[in-house]
Amino acid sequence: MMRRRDFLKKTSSLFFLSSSSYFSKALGNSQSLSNSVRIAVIGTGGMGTRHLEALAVNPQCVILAVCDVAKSRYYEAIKIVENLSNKTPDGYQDFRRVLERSDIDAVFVATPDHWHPLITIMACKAGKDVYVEKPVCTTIQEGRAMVDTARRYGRVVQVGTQQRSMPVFQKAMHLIHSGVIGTITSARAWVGVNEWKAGEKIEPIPKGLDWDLWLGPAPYVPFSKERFVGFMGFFDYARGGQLTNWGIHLMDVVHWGIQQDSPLTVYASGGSYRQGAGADNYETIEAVFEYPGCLVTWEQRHSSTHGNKAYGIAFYGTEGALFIDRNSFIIKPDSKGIPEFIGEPEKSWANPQHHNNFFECIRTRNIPVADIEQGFRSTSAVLLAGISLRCKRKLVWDKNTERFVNDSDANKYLIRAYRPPWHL
Amino acid sequence: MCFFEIVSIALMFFSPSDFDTSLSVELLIQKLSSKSELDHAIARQLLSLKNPVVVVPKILPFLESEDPDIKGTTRNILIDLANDSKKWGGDVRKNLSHILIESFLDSKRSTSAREDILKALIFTVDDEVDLLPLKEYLINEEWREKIRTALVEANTKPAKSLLCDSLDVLDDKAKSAILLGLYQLDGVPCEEKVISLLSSSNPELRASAVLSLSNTPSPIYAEKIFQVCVLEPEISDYYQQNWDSLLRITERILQTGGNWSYAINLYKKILAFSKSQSIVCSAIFGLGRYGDDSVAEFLSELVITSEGEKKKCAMCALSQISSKGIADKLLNLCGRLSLEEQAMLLPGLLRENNREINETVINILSTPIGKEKFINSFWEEPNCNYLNYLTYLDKDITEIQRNKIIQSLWKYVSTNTEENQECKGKAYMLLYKMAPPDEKPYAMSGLKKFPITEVTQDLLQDILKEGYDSLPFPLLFELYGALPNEDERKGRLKGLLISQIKESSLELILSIVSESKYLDNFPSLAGFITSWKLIGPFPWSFGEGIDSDYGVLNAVEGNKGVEFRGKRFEWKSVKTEGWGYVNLMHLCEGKDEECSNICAFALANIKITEAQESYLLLGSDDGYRLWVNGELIDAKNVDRGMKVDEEKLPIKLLPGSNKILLQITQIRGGWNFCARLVDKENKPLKFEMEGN
Repeated sequence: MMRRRDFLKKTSSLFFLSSSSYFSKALGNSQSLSNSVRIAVIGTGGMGTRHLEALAVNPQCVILAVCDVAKSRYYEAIKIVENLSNKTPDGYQDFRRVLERSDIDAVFVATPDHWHPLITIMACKAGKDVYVEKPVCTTIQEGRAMVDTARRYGRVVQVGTQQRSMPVFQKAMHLIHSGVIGTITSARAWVGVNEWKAGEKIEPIPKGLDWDLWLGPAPYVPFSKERFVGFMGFFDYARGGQLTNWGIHLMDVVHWGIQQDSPLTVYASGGSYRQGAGADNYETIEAVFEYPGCLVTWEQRHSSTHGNKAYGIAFYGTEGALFIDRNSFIIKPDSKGIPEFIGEPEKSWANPQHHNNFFECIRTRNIPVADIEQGFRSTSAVLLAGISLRCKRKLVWDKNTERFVNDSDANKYLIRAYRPPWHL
Repeated sequence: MCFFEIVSIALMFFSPSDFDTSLSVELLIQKLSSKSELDHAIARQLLSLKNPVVVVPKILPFLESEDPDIKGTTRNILIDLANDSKKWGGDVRKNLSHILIESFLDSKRSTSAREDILKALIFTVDDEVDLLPLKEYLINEEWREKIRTALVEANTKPAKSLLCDSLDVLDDKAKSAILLGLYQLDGVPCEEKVISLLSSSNPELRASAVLSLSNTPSPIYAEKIFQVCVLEPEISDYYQQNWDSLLRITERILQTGGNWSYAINLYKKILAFSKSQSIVCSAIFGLGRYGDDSVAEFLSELVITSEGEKKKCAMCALSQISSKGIADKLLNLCGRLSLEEQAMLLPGLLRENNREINETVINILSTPIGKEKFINSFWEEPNCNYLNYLTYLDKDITEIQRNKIIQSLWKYVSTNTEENQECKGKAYMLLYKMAPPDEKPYAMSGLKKFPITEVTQDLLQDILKEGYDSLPFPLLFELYGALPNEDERKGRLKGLLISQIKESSLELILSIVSESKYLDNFPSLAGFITSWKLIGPFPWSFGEGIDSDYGVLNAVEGNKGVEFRGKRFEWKSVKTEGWGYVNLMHLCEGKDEECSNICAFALANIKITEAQESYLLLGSDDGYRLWVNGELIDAKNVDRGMKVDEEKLPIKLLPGSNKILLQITQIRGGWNFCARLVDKENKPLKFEMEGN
């Protein structure tokens, strides 16, 4: 356990005050400290910080520890929690020390993608419940291991697909499931292009960063800021740029609406037609998924817009269509007389409702609204699209065996070799 | 520079289409060396479509480029070609593999170029490609990990063979790494070697060997792993990992339909021998997920005899079992548990329909944890049994909880495939009650399709407050029945009902009302004549037609009896049954074998206030004759079953009293009739029954 009080300085900034004034309205049953869930946040970069800001003012939990492979990041995290809650969590560089603590009930995993599976699995084995950010995994083998471990150890694992807790989406689902647009026969999800570029500048490992631990199960490579900060652009850490960044959020909503979670086939095509040919991710992608009774498309393109939304999901039914993003949804045709539903503006990607659902399920031992199995299947869809993109052909998926049918080459992408001593 | 080259270069800038597919490999490779990102994009897309055996040797030098975009583009082309090589056929693919292997072995290339070549090689090799040339690099410390990764991800027979061979020559740490790689692949390629490593003195190596066996659902492997587990000291760094491997293989045996009894016993052994609480709990969860009735007994005993975490785990596990009669077992257990502990058993209690649990469930719902557990369990596994208790939750729940219930109800109605339509109706009813105003119309459309057979007073008041004019018949009928007689809204509801009976198909309505506990209300609403006097049975046969009245016509006035063939017959008063039919079989006094080739008469005294065009809608089994006020109206000698409203017979009713007399014949089988009065618009006639 490390505490570096001499590095801690109280700061008060408008940023923190405005964050806390929003999150002080966080919903949740009031609870005494003794009933609060004791948590740690592992990974205190961008998304981890968003979680900390929300959790520090949530009466349903108390942050006992923060952890990041970069000491400077966990020092900052400690400050954030102190400013918002007047409590000082412990700071760690190695997540294993966090998992060893018997006084921690649950962990939030907000590391780069390639670490999501292993930390989740190890946390479950250590008796912790887990909130893991999306995408849950980078391969099918990892995702299945996560689900199996969660079930084996009876752990509550919530995935950070917070749209499941957002009223605008819940409302839309009520209407879709009531049949207002009839039977859904197709759906579409869309977002803008990937903009990561090739290239990195090898540098010495910054002081205070455990680079070997950051890499973890991924192959060992020299340090570069491009990898460390822009990990989503590298195949070793994230498997598709926007496909696995936004893709899982949007495909998760598609699954929710069509009430299916596993495609029969997938065909993806795309390329980098103007720039970025050397990057790990394609600039422009279209993927077509066949589900039983429904066709779904995924689009990543320049100037992407449908129904006046620059990203989102559309459901096309026999009696109408519904277009939705995090702000609102509209139903066409207008003759249905259903006005546009405008939700509360999203102020942070860390959603207190989603957190509270996690905490409630920790108490009741139920499956949360974005359970790991569901999150795995939403992640799988986009992973499969990525594989089809690389293989340049239509692939048939067997959801029972979790293999491609008659395609040993495509099946190679379902696993990735873990760098020892790490293993699933 | 020749003319051709000048034109080609010019074309690169002035071609109408940037992506000209006729460009040769050489010209495309030139684009690769340019500074333009657009050129790289063109090169990548078009080169990836060319024959890989032609392209790859020519682009390999670009892997040495200092320009990250050129290097990256080249790497991507290489991988694209490798991924797509299958379409060129076996020979091309094999040749490509050899080119890549040879290129990798070329030590003049940079490390980074060789790494890129290795990445592409993974996707070209199959079981036909020999990978032995890579063996020395597997032993070489600098390359070992990269080769190991490539072999694991290539996942071919030669790759696995190479990994297995290396176990003979590597040190323990490296062996362990190989085993971790093999663990990620299907099967156990070098079983003997792996099994021999189970008895290694090195705990890390031992644990890796255990791990690599644990994905294969083999009881033989499971036994070997168990032996390692029981001998592993508790303080060992690998204690937990070994037991986890045992849990995994047990699970795999069950998931693949292996020996169930063996696996269940293995869980029990893990419970008994492991000293790790989390492992013990996992074994208990396993029993819950895969167990049956006998396992439920075992778990119940565990709940009673355990404390703390073990007890909690056993309760969670028990509530997962879905064998018949589980609710009774759980109910017995509840007597020994606190209310909060009982809450953990809710999913099990509510998995089957069992009225005995009512009081227990209601008590559990009085606790905050009980409410939370109920709401979350309903969301997780919605079924009809939860619906009955939702009304207990209406008060004292938060807005978030209410929204969750609504979400669960929508999920239930949209995915429910149960045959019990009443449940779906109930769910729509609850949605109507709980959903926000803009969702109520959708709940209403659902309600119209499903019958409702129960309306609580709370629900009733709520719906009446909202307005009931547009309610469908089933709901209107329930509301009408549930309202007290003195409620002034009853009259209005009656009017609405009568108008719907006129408009709707009577057969459908009858099927709905027959299920209702308010069935008795229906006959008078529909205009059925409900009070009759019967006389008979008289001997009759189909062949003689319906001509004889047996002296009954003279016995209509004054309720006089009739003598026929030395037997005395008197009028008997009866009421209709069910939705409004008369069962004449009662006249046979239980002697069904004598209840054929007979007939009987039915008399009704009707009073109306004013004369109007009227009809008698009649259904009869079998034939009939009809008199109204002594005048013969119609007759039909038929052999048939009763069908409501089969005959529409115009009749003249006088203001005041009227006598309607029916003769109903009986050939064999069922013997009944139904009669109702309607006006010219088919609306049930207003009339009174007199002195019957």
